[in-house]
Amino acid sequence: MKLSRRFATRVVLLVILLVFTAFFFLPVIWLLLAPTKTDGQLVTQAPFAFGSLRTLAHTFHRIISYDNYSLLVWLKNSAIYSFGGTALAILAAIPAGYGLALTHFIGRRTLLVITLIVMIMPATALVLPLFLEMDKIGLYGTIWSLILPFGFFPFGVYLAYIYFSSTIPSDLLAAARIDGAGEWRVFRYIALPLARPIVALVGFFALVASWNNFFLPFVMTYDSSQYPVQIGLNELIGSTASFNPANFSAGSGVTVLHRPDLAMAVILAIAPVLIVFLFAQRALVAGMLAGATKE
Amino acid sequence: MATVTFDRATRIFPKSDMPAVNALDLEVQDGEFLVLVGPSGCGKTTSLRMLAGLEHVDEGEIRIDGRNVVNLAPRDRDIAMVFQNYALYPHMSVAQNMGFALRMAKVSKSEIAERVQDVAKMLDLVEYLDRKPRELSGGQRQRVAMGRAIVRQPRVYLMDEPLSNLDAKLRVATRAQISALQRRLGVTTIYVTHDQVEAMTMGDRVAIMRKGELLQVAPPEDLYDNPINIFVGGFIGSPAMNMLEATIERDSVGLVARVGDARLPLPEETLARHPGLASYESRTLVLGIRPENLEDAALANDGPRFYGRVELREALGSEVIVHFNIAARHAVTEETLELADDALGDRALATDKGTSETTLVGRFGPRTRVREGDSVEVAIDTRTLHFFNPKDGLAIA
Repeated sequence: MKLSRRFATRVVLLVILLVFTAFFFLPVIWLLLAPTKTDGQLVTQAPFAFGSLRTLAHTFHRIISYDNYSLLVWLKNSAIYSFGGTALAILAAIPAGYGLALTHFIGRRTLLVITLIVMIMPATALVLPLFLEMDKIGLYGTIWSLILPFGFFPFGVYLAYIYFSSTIPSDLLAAARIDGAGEWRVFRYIALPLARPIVALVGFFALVASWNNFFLPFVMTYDSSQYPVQIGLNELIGSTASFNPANFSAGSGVTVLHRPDLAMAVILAIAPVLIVFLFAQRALVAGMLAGATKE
Repeated sequence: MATVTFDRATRIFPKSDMPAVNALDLEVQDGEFLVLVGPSGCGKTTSLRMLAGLEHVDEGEIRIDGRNVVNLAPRDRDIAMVFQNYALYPHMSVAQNMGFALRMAKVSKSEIAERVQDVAKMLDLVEYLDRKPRELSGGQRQRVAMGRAIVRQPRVYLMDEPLSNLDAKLRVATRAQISALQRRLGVTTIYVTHDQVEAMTMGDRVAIMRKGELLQVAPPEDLYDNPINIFVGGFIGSPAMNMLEATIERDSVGLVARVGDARLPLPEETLARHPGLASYESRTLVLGIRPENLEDAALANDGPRFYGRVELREALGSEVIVHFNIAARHAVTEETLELADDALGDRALATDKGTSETTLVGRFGPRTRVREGDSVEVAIDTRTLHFFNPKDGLAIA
């Protein structure tokens, strides 16, 4: 009796988990399968049917070469903006977190609180003032208008703060100070080498945040050649026949895109972050576990 | 090589109204091994950190070789410190740990390697030079921490309870090693510990602190023989000094100390050493008796006796520590209470039990036959008694 009830509970739990898994995972599978089909097959075939590799190659070729290889330009732009922003974010967040965690100065707590407030503020709220600011200092339309705003990555500052305050004993820094290191060298030779996991973690989050950002580049760029891939995708939706039938009256001369092309573009837009994640995985896990155990 | 002078050095922690270190006056001679000792919270580590530059000095001065260093950064003070938890750089090898200070001082690589090698030899660390601290045992880590300090050839060594993380056996061995090393190097050393055995065995002089105040600084034997007050008397020595309430009375033979129903005639020798006792006639004071001045009467000569019952017998081979009850009262002052608190478990010092019985600790010869529960006759060596004023706790001269 007892045993069968436990069994029933497990079955119910399993079903719930399966439903949730399906709910979130099926769209991803659909997306991955879409480029293997033609637009027609996409609506006529079963949702999770596999089209053909030939079609996949066609789709890939069509989306890559679309509009004089725009997608590649956008991906390149995204890479420049994101890696630039990430580099800046790391450069600022790691020392900032260190300073907030391990040094004493007037206004330390206030700064920490402000960082937390900005962290929970939606990033889009700052886009308009940032636009006005960039315009005033003449950086609007340059790559700096997309890199500089990511230099302050409050979540990264917070992560670094937590890491430094929980994993680095203050005696270690005291020892270095006594050993003749000034404040900069204490950071450079002691804190920074020990902070490798958190540098990876902050960098990854900064990269994702910058890569996936839409509204800021949407406001800051005005020419297709400047677009990062997120804005490019938006542009592609506009060129997709099934979404905007009115744009494509016969003989307009514009290359028409279809939904499988769009799916392919999305996959290509995700791929770089995924690749970085796979390579950085070990460091990232270390960063997330850091502080849980002490040596 | 340097002298170190604390000149009314004071540290008051933010949000605290009691100074952690209060107007500390202390002079450490060139090449001296000075031990700072006291219960936790007495300010000894804070004093050390003030000297290191890790703690702000709110008032007064600290001088190294006559130069006030209060406003110097730690790195400009030319000191080396061994931390309680060693504070080894976890990402560096043993060699890198030991050479870090030299690297910061821009010493050439070949010289660093040479000096690290020399010190590693001295400390038996040569085979571990390429290892990371986490791959070492506690004792090896401790030696690396020592080595890191020695390589520097600083003017002063600071050691903050460097042995407290070692097991008892290793602690004894390392204690001797550090003493020998210090004598060999001849570098002024300030050593903080809460362990009075370390203090007694290692220091040229011992400075004992309590609640931010320096109570007494003297060579170990001096501190032991002539404690300035109840606290020093009770803190130094293990087992601790017995503190009893006693009344000074005059009878036909002269002054006697009455403890419960026992009367201890005070010999000339004792009175000569404590002339102030005369003025305590028919007054109460605190009588301190070291455990070694209590002996099984069966093994001792004549002299005054305590009669009591054995509570606990701890045979150590070379001696037998005997806890016995007598009809007398424990001296209860703020200091004895704090001592009991500090040494909790050592013996129930402050528990008066509301009766007129009190437990004394005696250090008997190994041939004593007393057993737990026995009645015991205990001989008291009255030539080495200690007397304290119950009000201010000061020794009666």
